[in-house]
Parts: sequence; structure tokens; C-alpha cells
Amino acid sequence: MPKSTVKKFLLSLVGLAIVVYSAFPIYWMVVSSVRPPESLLSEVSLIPSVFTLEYYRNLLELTDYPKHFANSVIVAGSTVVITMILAVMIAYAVARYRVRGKKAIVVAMLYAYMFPPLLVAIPLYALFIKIGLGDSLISLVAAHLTLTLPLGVWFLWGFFRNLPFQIEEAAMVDGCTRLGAFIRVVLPLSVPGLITVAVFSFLLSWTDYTFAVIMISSDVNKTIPVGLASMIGSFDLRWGEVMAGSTLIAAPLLIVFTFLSKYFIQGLGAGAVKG
Amino acid sequence: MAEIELRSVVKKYGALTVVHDFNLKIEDGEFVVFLGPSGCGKSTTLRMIAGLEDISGGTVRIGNRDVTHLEPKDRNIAMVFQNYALYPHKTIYENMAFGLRLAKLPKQEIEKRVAEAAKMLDLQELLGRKPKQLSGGQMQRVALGRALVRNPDVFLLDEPLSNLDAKLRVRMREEIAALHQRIGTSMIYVTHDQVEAMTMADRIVIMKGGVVQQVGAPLRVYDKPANVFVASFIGSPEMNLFEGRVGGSDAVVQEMRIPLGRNPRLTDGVEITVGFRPEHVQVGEGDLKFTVNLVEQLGVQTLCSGTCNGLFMRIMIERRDDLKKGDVLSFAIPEGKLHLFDKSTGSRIDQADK
Repeated sequence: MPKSTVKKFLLSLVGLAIVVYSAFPIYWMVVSSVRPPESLLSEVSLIPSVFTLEYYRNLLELTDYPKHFANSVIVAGSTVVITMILAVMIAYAVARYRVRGKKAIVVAMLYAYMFPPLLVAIPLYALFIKIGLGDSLISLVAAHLTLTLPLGVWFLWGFFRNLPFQIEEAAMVDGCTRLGAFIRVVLPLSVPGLITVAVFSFLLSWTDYTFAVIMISSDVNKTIPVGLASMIGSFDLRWGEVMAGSTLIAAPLLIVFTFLSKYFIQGLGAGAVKG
Repeated sequence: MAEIELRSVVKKYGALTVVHDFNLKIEDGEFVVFLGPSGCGKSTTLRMIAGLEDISGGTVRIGNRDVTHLEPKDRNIAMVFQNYALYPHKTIYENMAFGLRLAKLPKQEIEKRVAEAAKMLDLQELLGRKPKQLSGGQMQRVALGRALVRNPDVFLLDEPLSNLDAKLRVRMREEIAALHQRIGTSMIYVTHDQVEAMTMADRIVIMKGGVVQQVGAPLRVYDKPANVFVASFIGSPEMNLFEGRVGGSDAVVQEMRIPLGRNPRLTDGVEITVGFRPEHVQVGEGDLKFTVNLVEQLGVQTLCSGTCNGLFMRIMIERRDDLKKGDVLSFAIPEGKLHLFDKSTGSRIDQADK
């Protein structure tokens, strides 16, 4: 008995250490974004003595941050929607129909996902310039799809494969068309998988820096990670604004995870155990 | 309720033919079992009737409609699957009501039918639960209920009991048979278990390699198997089968001579396969000598495996407590219990009492 208690205690201790290690920088970022300039670089207390929203005001009123934020929302939103629609269709077809060379399709997609983004980004950029899509949000969405789509297809493929086909057949015998069976039976059962893919796609697109910095050159089309980075100049580093901007980038992620973590973990588990 | 007719039904996957020229007419209210080893095409045939597989050739009629090219939903059938295929995200009530809702039946009618089916299958207590919370037997009853509420022309059951344990299987077998008697709708039941086929069927369709081997009432198939395959597949323990030839008035298998009795006059030297069922052997008479090797007590009966003239065989006799390894029993095979098959084609030689 005591042995297992000790074991538990040690495990908790290690767990706590990991949490502190990974959460502290985030905490420091949030705290720094509300510390006034005078104490920002000198005060070491965990809780700031004076609070200020000055940086947020500067960020939202004096910089292009709101515009960049909107760009990021558009890009990440479009990426998620397009990924969901295409990944569901492709994954379902590959899982259910006899498609010639379907294994090759899935493996090729996974390979594309493992390809270093930088190697994909430069030829893609050249291509987009050629067809007149250089420096546009569309080009950025297309670039993000090269990452999110393979991941989504691969994940949902595993998910659909594990749903017994008989359930759909039962629905078809019960009076559904094939599409009806898909919508009424397959989709509701796939909610954890769908949410996982959506969250992953959003995450990849929302936090992407590599593609954005290559694809986008004009200020109006920048997404927040790039916009924020451009605030770090050679002579002027406004830590307060950078911290406030970072906090705002992280906020949506935090919200998404809080509400969807239950499904997210379920989906990951389903993929991991049976995939 | 309706008759079902399959005419020259063929199923091909590319160059591979998995069901050959299947012809069958199922009468209104009949209980037909498709029986065969796995991969024999029985499930494929059932799925073609359901419309879940495309038909490569021939026609399927249900009632007086040609349903060959209709979607499953337009065939007015109900199907019970081996793994139950309940909708895991719906309650038992919703599982049963799903088809009726799709058919846009009025709410009271749906409630009435689900309640009736639930009562018939003893599911009233479970209607609010999800499939995950049920046992295998309960899930299978829900699957039956889901089929039942729809008042289909025909029930299709695809190995419905093979996921259940032995005891439950026997009980569900009785329940399905009782259900069939009560509602009188035609049923087509696929199984690889010959006991299920024998006990439930009005007629058995035995298949092998996509080809129908024999169609007939259970006892008819048991008494007069059309070929060696049917002979060995039907009956438990398996029929003893030996390859030999005709020698005078006997069947000669190596050293063993089995009198043919009044059996068809066959030309001397014709190559035959000869068979008899373990349970038809009469011990204590005749000239054949059986040396006991292994005794299995089944309760009412005793099953012995051993040899006769060096040939392995099984015999099943009334309970005997004294048998042990090495005992020798004399036995005979009564008139009419000997099955003769053409050795090359495997089909039954049976002119005498046709």
C-alpha cells in the first residue's frame, strides 16, 4: 500500500513539474502584458503590483493588429471549413469504396504531410505568383491546406474504417439513401473525429509563421504571427505590445480547447487505439 | 407478406464469380435457411436480395415486383445483422423507431408499433437505454424488434446468432422460430451452423463455392444428401465416408466389405464413395468389426471413434458405460442407411427408391 502511495506522489510531482515548466511562460506572457512599462523589465513578482491595459489599447488603436487578427480569422476559418469538407469526402470514399490505388493515395497524403513546410512553401510561392495569387489570403489558405488536408484525410480515414459498415447498411435497409445514411448515422458518430480534425486544422493555420512569412509581403494581408513579429524592429522592441499580442493569439486556442477537449481526447483515443 | 423469387441470379467481382446461377422460389411465410461454409456465397446472396450488393445477372422478385434494380430502402425488407448494427448514438426506442420515422408514419402509429414489438420481445424495460448498456442477447432482440416494427415483406437474417454464447444461441433460436410462427412473414436466414438450419428451417438451401448443392426440407436433406459435400456438412457427428468400388453385392473399401443389400444394382468395379451416419450403425449384429479407440460420453448416447479394418470411423450408440479403448464391437449398417455417391462427380447414386 505505502509503496503505491509513494509512486502516486512521485508521479504527481513529475506531472506538476511538467505543468509548471510548460505553463509558466504562458503565465509570464499574460502577466507581462498587463505590467506597466516602468516595471515590465524590472519587477520579478508573480503578481504585478500595478495593472495596465495600455499595451492592449496601443495594439488595437495604433497598429494594424485588428486587421491582422481579422486576416488570421479568415485564413484559419477558411482552412478549417475547406479541410472539413474535402477531408470528410476523400476519407469516406477511401474508407468505403473500392478505389484503385487507395492505399497509395493515403500514403502519398501522409508523405506530403511529413514534408518540411519550407520545401513546399517556396515552389508554392513561385506557383502562386505565376497564376496571379501572390501575396493573397487565398494563397495562404491553399498553402495551409497542404498540411491540414493530409492530416484530416488520414485521421478520418482511420475513423471511418472503424465504424462498422453494417450500421450504414442497416440505415439503408431502414429507408435511408446512401447519403442519408451518411448524414444521419455516420456523421453523428464521427463527431469526436470531426472535432479533432477541426481543432488540429485551426491550430496549424492559426499559429503558422513559415508559410505566412513567405506567401505574404504586404502589411494589409499579414496574419497575426507575422504581424506581431514585424513589431520586433532592430532599434525598438516593444515587449509590452508583443506580450499583449501574443496573449490575444493564445486566447482563442484556450477557448477552443476548454470547450472541445472532451471530444478532442475521445477522437485522439479512437484514432490511436484502433487506427 | 410475399413470395420471393430469384431467377438465374449471378454475382461477379471482376472475373471472379461468387454466386452461380441461383434459382429459388420462396413461398409466402416460408422459413428458408441458406447454409454453407464461410465464403460459399450465402451472405452475398442474402445481400443481393436486400439490395446491398449489385446483382451481376438475373432477377430478384419480391411479391409481384421486380426489385432487381431497386435501392434497399424501396424493397420493403428488414434485415438483422450478425453484429446487430444498432445505432450506437440512439436509444433503443429510437433505434426501433428510426425506420418508421423515415417512412413518415404518424407519431401515435410509431409509438404503438414500437410498444407492440417491445412487448413481444420483452424489451419494455430497455427502451430508454443506449445499445452499449445492453447484453448481446438483448441487442439481438432489439435488432429483431427494429426489423419487426416495419412490417416488412420479408425478414433477412445474416448469421444473427453467431456472436452469442452457446446457451443464449439455443434460446434465441427458439425465440426466432416462435416469432416466425406468430407473425408468419417469410424469413431468409443465413448460417454456417447446420444445427440452426436443421432446427429452424422449412427448407434448407445448401451452398458451396457459390453453387447451390441441394434444396430441401431438413430431414429430406439429412436422409438423402444430394452429394458428398451435403452428406458431410449435414449431421453431427459427421457422416463416415470412404472411397472404394463395387465388388459383387458389396461395397469394397480396402479390406472392408459393406453389403449393398437391396441397393441399386451397380456394375462390378465401379468407383464409388460410400457413407453411413455414426448414429445409424447397429451394434451387436453383422460381420463388421469396430475397434474402439476413444469413447466420448454425451449423456444419452455414447460416441466412439476407432477403426474397422484399419479405416477410421465414428459410431454413435445408446449409452454404454462399459466401453473402453481396445474393445471390439461387431456392427452392421441397416438397409437403406447406406449412402452411395459417384466417386468422380460426388453426386448421389440413388436409382432404386427414387
